[in-house]
Amino acid sequence: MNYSLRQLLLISLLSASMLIWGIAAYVSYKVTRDEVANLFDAELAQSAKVLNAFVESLLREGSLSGHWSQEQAKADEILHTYALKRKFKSKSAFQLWSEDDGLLLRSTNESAFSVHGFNQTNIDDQLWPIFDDLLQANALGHKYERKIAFQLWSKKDGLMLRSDSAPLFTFASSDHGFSETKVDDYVWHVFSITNSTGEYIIHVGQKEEIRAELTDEITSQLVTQFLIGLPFLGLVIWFIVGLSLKPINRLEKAVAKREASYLKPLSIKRLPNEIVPVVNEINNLFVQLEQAFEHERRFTADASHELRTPLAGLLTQAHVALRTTDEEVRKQALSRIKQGVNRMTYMVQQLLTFSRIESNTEFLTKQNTMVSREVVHVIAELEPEAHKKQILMEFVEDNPVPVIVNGPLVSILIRNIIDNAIKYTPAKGNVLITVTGQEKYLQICVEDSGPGIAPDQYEKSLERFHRCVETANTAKGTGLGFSIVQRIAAIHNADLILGVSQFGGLKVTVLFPLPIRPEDKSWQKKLSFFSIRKSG
Amino acid sequence: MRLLLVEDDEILGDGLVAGLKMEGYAVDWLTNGKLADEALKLNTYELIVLDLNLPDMDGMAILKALRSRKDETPVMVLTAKDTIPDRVLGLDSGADDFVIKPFELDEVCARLRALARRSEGRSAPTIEYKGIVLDPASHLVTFNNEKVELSQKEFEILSFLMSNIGKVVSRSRLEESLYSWESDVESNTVEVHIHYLRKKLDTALIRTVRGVGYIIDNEDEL
Repeated sequence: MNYSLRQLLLISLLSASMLIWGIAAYVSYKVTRDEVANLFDAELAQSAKVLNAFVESLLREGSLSGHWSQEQAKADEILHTYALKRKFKSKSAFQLWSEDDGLLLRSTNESAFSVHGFNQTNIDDQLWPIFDDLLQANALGHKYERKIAFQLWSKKDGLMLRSDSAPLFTFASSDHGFSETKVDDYVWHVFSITNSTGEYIIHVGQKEEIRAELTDEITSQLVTQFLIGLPFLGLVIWFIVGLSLKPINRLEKAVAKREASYLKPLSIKRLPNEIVPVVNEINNLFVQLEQAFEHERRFTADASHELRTPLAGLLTQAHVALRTTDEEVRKQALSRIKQGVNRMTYMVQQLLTFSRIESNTEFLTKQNTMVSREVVHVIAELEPEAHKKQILMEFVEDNPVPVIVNGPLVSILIRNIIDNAIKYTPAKGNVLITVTGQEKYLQICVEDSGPGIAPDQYEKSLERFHRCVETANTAKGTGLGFSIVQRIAAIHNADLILGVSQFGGLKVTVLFPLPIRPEDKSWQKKLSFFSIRKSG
Repeated sequence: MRLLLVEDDEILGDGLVAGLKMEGYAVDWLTNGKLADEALKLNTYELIVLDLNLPDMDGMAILKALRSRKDETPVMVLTAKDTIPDRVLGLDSGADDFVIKPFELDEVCARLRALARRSEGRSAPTIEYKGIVLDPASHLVTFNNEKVELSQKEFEILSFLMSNIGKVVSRSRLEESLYSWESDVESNTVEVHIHYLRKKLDTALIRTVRGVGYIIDNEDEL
């Protein structure tokens, strides 16, 4: 199945970013929630302590209830304010100044809160109105007002003071520290404190909602930012991937230009390291292809020469036969034409055999074959030819073993070798064929009493259309015989060895490897299964 | 006219020998490049027909060796390779003509005549001198517009002498051009043919240079 690398990268990178971001968002949501809770808890505690400080100071001056009746309205306002302190940042602090006594009350962090440039000496005249204004403007009308509350309980007199939003019953059962309470379906976080005499208990409460709201706000900000950023991220990925794939596009164009006749290696300049090995492999393939094409070109040229020459001979002889007035010359020319046609027929057969072997190697089925039997068939076929030249043809068999080969092909191989031997052996010569089973090989050996081949010509004589110098004019070969033999030997992993025969002529030895473990039948089964599969 | 044929294919070589003999050439046929190279060093030929694909020595190498010896003998190359680069290479190596196999014998003969004509410095297909008109293609000779019957050897001798007007042609050179290696040359045959030529044509045409050979004097230059 095909797919687009660009799409794959885009989708996978975006998905991965979303997943990682999602985890990060969840973690930061949790952390934020905890932090917010901590912050608000601290504020609750702070507010409660402020109230407590008031209660303590009022108690020092006299009775709290007496004071309260006079100062109720004012205190109410101030207490409200301090309960609302959570709208300031966690780092904020507070100070409370009195007209008569100066600084009454402050948070432990001294430097935090200053009243805009007023110093301690002249602050007495102006502080209260300013403080009033500050409280009015910043806190009193705030939307969160209903979500915070406080209560002041006296152990003797019950509820003494509360904010509007606070319930009439006690906020928390605990006298001291943090607790949670449910009032009218709302969860309240409550901090309770008892004053030093143990007479009064202060509860400061805060609705859970506020905390959730703030956490949600922060989290939704994060999500929104990401959702807005996502399309941009996608665009950037699309663009970068496109840019990175440019070399592949360039490569594609370069490959498209190549064809059978133009197989120049592809340049690896400016290619990423990941693609260089691919290009190197393609270039290797090009070299092999080029060699194969060159091989074919040479074969065609050679074949054309091999066919054109006998055709020219036929044409010339025909011309002579038509033109001559001498009956003897005409007869000679006609017999030459017959000879030429026979030779060409043989050659065409050899060419067809060769091309069939060349093109169909993978479709060959190999079977357990008694090669010596094939040899006998071929000898029977060629004996009349040998007999004509009064050649003594002998066959010796010694421990013949079966080998796994393609029977018809091996027949062609044997026929070519023996045919060659008969052709190149002069009249009354010898041709000896031996088949010997050896430890690892089945050896087929054909020896003749012909002129042989000089050792330095062995390699050349295996080339296509090569004919030996000494015999080129007399023997009617096509120059294809040994090429066919060599090809068939290669198909069977057999070795082809040329040497000097006991008669002084050529000795051709073919070594067919024996099956690795002849007694192991399952191995043979596997092999034939493999062959059948291939042919299917 | 003596011609060396170098062709390794038995049937083609045999056919060419038969066909060229019918045309009146004295043909020596070699099937081996090295032998051909040796033969060319020792013998003089009027024409060479050379196959390029030889088993032992490349035809092109023979041609190059020939030209390096300043031998100007016209060479016709027979080849199965018909690509332009092959032909260019052949002509540049000193071949005078190229024939691609398979070919018509008639064409080869006509091209050989043209080669011979050019090597003799003529461009007209016939040789004319003092009322004698010799047509190498048809082997016809007329004297004062009357047909003269000549034997093949007589025609060859006349043709050779008329191609070399004003030059003394040695007797052995004439013999060489008349006979290939196979035929026996009798010592007085050339004299006999000259005798008949004088009888059939103008007696004063061919002058004997004693001990050397024969000449048709170029009276236009006198």
